[in-house]
Amino acid sequence: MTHHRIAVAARKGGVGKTTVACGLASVLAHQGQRILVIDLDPQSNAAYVLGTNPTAPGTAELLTGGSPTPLEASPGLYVLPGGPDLTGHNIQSLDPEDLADAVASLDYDALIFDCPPGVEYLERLGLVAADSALVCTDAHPLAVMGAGRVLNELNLRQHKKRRGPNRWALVLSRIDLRRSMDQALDEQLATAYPAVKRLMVRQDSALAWAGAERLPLMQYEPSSRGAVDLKAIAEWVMNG
Amino acid sequence: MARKRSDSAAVFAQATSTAEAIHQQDQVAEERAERDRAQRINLPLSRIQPRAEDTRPLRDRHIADLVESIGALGLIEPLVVDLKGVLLAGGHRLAAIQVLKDTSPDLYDQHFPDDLVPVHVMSFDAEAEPERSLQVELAENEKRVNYSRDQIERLAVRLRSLNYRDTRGRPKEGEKALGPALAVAIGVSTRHVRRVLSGQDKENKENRTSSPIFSRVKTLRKIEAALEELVNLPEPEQLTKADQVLLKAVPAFLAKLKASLEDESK
Repeated sequence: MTHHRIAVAARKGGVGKTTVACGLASVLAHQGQRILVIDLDPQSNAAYVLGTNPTAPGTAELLTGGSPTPLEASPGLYVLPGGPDLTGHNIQSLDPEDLADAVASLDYDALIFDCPPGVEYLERLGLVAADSALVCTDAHPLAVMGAGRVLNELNLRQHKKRRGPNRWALVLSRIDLRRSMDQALDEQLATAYPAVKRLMVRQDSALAWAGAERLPLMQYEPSSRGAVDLKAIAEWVMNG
Repeated sequence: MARKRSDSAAVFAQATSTAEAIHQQDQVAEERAERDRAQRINLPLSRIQPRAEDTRPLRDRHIADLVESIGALGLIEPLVVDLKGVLLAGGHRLAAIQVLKDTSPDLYDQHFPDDLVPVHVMSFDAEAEPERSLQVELAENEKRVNYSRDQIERLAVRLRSLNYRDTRGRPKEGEKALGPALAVAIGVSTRHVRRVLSGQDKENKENRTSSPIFSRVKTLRKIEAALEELVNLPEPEQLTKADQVLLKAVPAFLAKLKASLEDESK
């Protein structure tokens, strides 16, 4: 029985979904929890940045009825890789609740669904399987537009009482408050989505380097600014 | 000189309002995707769910025959499922496909690449409309598509290429009997297949069994008799929900059946 199921989504690409998902996973695992990252991205980036084999059997096998073995990235931190198999016809024709059913029997302290950019049927599988969601955006209008679409979908699902997250937060990523765009972002999101909690990950090269060096964040630089911000996000996710 | 920038707040306000507008399109697209999913004619085998209760037990002998036929020809008639992939008609065929998968994975992969099984999706939910699901099941059980001479002959050609022979009696070593295999595949008698293949059915076309109207009336009569028998059975003491729904639906369906029979006899 898994206690927390978190979807990380953005619709837009390159705004920090995988960085937030894997960083959060590393923080939680470092606190002694057993965490499984489920990568829904056909580009299979999550397994790569965590230093495991991105071509190993993973989420696609899980969705088609198999039981792939999660890869261990660090003590307590496991990952199911994504990959091109996720674009197959048999996955596209799945019911949106199939991932939720497939993970019901998994036994971790938390599952983290790293949703892909763009591909909506895959993103929806992750959202529907989660009980909370982190919606990432950086300080660019195109990212805000993508995040807005995800927020609207979350609202709609909750309104229709469909399976899916019962709470969600915006994660403002790569923020440098010396830039005017970054300052305006927080204000505008507060105005447009007043009821949604806003969390922040500041610009930090340690986050980018951890991924490039293929090490979980807490193995790479546990005292970095990024790690501090992700601990705050972990706090909201677990105790919010 | 640098171009004058609009202020950042306005830039983001535009983005959030555009997100609203695209959200409308998102919803339309999702509805369309859901519809497409419903009409799709191939379903992964694992997504086809068995009926909650089978109205009649599966016959092992028939399944074994179907395994052989489906192994040779593939699935000719798609299974019938509801919106959720619950099987409405084709219990024997589904069981046979499952057996084929377990016993001859090569043949299975050849006929059902990527685990995809041809289905016909009826656009309703069997759980919500048990009467309709019963109607589909009855219709499918009682009525077969009438295969034309051409179709039967084409199937026979394929079977012959797979070393099926249309001689009477026990086939020789390494050969298989064509007539019975084809009969099982399309759900008619071996005799009918042999008649068609030998060209006997050309003359004297209007006999009773080949007349679709006569077959139809006969079938309807059979259903009528069976339903009347069902209605007149002593009522069991404990009725399940499904039983109650069924019993409620039968009189109306019977009435429609009688009306149709009456039309036919005019």
